Amino acid sequence: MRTRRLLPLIAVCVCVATPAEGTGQIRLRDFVITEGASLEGYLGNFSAITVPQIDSTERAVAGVGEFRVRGILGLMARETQSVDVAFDGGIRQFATGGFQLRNYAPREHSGSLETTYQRRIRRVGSLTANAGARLRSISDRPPMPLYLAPGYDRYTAGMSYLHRGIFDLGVEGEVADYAAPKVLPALDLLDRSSVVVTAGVRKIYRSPAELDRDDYWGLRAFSSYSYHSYPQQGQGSPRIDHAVGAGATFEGRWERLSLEFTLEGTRSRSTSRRVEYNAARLNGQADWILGQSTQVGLRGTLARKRFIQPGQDALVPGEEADNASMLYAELTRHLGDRVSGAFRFGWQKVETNISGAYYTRFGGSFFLRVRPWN
Amino acid sequence: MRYPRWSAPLLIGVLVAAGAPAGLAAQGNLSQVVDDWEGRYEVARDNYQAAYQEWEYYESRWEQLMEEFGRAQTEEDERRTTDILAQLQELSRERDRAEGTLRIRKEEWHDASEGLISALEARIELQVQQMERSPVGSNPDVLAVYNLYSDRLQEVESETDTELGPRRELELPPMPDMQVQPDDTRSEIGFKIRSLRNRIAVLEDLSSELDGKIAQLENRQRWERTRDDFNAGLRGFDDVVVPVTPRSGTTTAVGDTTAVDLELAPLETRIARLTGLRDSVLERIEQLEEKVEDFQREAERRP
Repeated sequence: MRTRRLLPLIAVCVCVATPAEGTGQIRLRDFVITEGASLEGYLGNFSAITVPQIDSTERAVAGVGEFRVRGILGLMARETQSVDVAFDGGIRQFATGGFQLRNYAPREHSGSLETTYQRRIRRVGSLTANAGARLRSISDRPPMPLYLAPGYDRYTAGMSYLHRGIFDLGVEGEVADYAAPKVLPALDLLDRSSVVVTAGVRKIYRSPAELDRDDYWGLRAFSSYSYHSYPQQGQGSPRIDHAVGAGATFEGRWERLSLEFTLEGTRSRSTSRRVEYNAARLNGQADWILGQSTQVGLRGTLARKRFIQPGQDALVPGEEADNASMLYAELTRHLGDRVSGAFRFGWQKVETNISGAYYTRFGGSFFLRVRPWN
Repeated sequence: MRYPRWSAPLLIGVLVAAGAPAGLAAQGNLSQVVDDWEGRYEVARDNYQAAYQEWEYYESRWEQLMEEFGRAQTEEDERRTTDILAQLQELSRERDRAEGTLRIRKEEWHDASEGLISALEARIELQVQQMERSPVGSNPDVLAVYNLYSDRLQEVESETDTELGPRRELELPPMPDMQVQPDDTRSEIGFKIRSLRNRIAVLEDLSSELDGKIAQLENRQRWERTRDDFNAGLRGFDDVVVPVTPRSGTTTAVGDTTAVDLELAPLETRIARLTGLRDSVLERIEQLEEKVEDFQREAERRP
């Protein structure tokens, strides 16, 4: 089973490696090994269609260990074009406590590979094409309130063009197969094919001083159209969603501070009126450099969704919640050129409007990151 | 009152966000921003021209002395030769200092020209917006203002292109073609040694400058990587994937900073380039020091 799922991933590797082989310029641009340990708590009474296991507890805890390897391989780097392959793979093991039925021991495997070809057309624009695969699996998936995303195989391909650093246009296609086992057919409801078209306009302002050329700030306004097809949902005819979105991003990078905020609204209409909704999302991230070797990062998300059908009271697979709030903070200390340690605190709350059901996940982690060939 | 560089685009952004109802007020503010940059540009240009004149004086004096030195050698006027060598030695320090000042003033003029060009572009953009809102031919003043700023933009671009040329990357100066001649006296060799030491001092300054730039870029790279680590850590096991909505169209056309500035190479490329240049500079310093030692040995053998 795993071998069959890995075949497309290997095919992507071979495809991207072939043209680069002759260039003789293959270079490991980044390589980082991460080991981590976490202690997490989970609260709530949330229900998800794709989590059929039921446990009456509303409180659980888990100790978590993880190992990841991530990097970027530069297959070609010429003055005007480049080919990079980003890879990321890891394993995470949970040891849970507090469930009534039994204590679960979920294990996650995840891996992704993304190839990006970029061609800079001097003084005119930049063309980017990318293809990627992401595989995720989870065994012994636990009941709520410990929500862990289900396993899937996802393949993406896209192309975008940035004109004069101002106008951008992109299209990306995605196929997601949740590869439901026989005992969990509900997962097939999440299978999805999507096409997202994005257009944006941006203005970036840079410091004119040569040494500060990496400092910049800018605004980007964008709009999007998304087509989502769910072949396993809908009776008789498959569910097809058409969503339009619009939003704006502020991004700034200075010597010791980096900020990024994105506000986006989405209007999603569907062949099934029951699942039509309007949604808004605010994402923010900030990073500060404190002193010579210390860095603090913050990531936050607020997501709100309202179904337009009055009295909507049935759960939608994969979209059971209406509101989500997330906050992550990470303090990183560099312990030399190749090693860093990081403490992370995370909190998230996901809830529904109809019943007030929710789940909360919070915890602290420590990560040791090593770049052996820095 | 001086306006910071970012004030022009900020005004544009506010104007666009507000649907441009306060266009005229913003035009006034933006014109002041342009005026402010005009002032800085004029100062930077004057400073550069003053530095150029000073450098030109030392350069022409240097060439004049070299000619006199050649004549004195031909006429075998030893006293005159020694006298000119002393003057050249004195002038050499001033000439190097003037050259360094000229380089700094040139960078400052480059910076000011980029600031002024940016402000002019923002002002022109605003004017275009106003022209698009006005019926054709209804307000000739609008077109006149547009032409005024457009002409000034062309003038500034032309002036900086002609007098400054493109921004030059740091580069390794050529190896001086300096040899001990059979008829060189000890004092002549001593002059050559001092000249070589001046070159070494210039290269040591360049090496320090490169060290600073490399350290700054490496810090930047470490910072960016740490931020990527944080993001990748959250994405890796789908910790931030929650059952609210499917992924939406927030993807940007290209995700890294290199794409934002089409002319700016990736950090690692720039670090590699500067590191290579620094290594060449250090190697050149070693070569020059060896040459100085050779010259010193040769000088000891001369009368």
